[in-house]
Amino acid sequence: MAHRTETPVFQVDHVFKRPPSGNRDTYILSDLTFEVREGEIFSILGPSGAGKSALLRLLNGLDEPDRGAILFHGTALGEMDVFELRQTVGMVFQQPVLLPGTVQDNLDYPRRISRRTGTLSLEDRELLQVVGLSPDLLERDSTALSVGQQQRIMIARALLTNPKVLLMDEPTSALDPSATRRILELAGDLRQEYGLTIVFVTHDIPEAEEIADRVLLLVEGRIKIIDSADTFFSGNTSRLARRFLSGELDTSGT
Amino acid sequence: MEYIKLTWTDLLLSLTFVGLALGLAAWQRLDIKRDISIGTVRTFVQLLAVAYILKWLFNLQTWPPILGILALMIAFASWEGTRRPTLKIPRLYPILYFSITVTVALVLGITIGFIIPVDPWFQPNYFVPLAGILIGNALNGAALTADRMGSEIQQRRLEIESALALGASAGEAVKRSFRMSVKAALIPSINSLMTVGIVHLPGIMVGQILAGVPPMEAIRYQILIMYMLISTKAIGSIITGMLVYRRFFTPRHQLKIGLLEHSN
Repeated sequence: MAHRTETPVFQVDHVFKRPPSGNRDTYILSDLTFEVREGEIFSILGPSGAGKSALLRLLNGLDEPDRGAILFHGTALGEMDVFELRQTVGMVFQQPVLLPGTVQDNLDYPRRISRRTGTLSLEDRELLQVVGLSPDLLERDSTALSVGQQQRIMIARALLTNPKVLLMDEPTSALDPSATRRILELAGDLRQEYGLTIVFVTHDIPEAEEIADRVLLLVEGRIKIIDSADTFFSGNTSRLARRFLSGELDTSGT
Repeated sequence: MEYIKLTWTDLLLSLTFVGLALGLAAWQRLDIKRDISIGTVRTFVQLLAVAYILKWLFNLQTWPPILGILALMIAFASWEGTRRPTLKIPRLYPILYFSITVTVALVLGITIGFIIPVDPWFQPNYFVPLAGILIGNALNGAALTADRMGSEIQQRRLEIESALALGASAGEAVKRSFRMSVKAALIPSINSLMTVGIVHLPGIMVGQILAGVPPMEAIRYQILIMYMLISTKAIGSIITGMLVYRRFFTPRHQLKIGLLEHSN
């Protein structure tokens, strides 16, 4: 059902961000301008410390730019109801953090939030199947799950608010290769089956190559390259990216 | 029972105890002789000053100066409280001042209004010492809560931001941090409710007994005070908790992660 369109979901316009503490004269994100389009998997690739997470946090209003603007379907994020924004733009973090209790308790959590704007019309058992887990896990104690399973619960929880966009912040970094593979497949499925737009942050080139439609290379808070995955991963561009990610080049060298 | 007055000459002999401590410190080379000496002098000077102030207070016939003293005591307590938390919490002072004031007003009001029939209500030899005890306890509860809230939010940053990302309000996201903080602040008081009379004899009761009050009467005051204190801690901690977590968030329910990196 899902198809990519040219319609921008996010328009990021000359965005600057200062570090949360320390030297307030520097920027961790400098002059970022790009857009994320409907139905695509947009990968933000970059070495650690490039500002990838800081950028992602701006997209669901967990933080806000010091300068510049971000529009979501044409509306400035600052003018949106922050609860509605966060429920329309779901987020999955590097580390899954489940609440104590059963899987069911964890799936119930988003329903107990007072300012609900959207709810998924799926039974919990079906939802578990969507994220690739057995429905029998519902009554299982959440601490008894593997990290990969926990991460799937986090994804299921994010889906419960019925988001249109899913932000994924290095969701595989705590996982082993087979769990990683299954999360990547799940991200692809969610886009395919549910038409979700996905912004996927990673420092891993093969990961980005596998799932991304378009790639943004972020180095030291600046956009180095932004291109379609096809172009990005062919020839020179990806060699340049590889050198950035290995720390061979820094921004002053280009 | 007649109580035996201590003269200044008697007190001079009590320096023997200080001498004993100093001697032991020197023998074990604890390098705290200076601190012991300063502490000894400070105890004397501070309490002497307090005696003069109380003497003056007890002669007051009107309530405004007494409430003034109370306000001053709360001001000092709040200032002391801002120095305690490990994390630097912006604008903590007004939170402490507010929560201590409300707590003391409530507990002292009920006590003097309904339990101890003091007449006039501001009678300083009741009002001031009771207020002092309550302020100290409200301060402890408030400062413990503020401190613990900082470290809970620091440790639970991922949990909190995961909740915010689902559309939870700051208040919903810190619910567990809030409970942990208030609980931690109450535990010392609960422990003392459990152990009073067994592990320790509280100072107020000891003081009354030394002053010739029969034990059965002295414990009544002590019980009243113990109950006042648990209530003070609970009220002070909850008010502080409900206000202090907001300092860690922006009006748009964003966690100020910069605050979590700064120590006091």
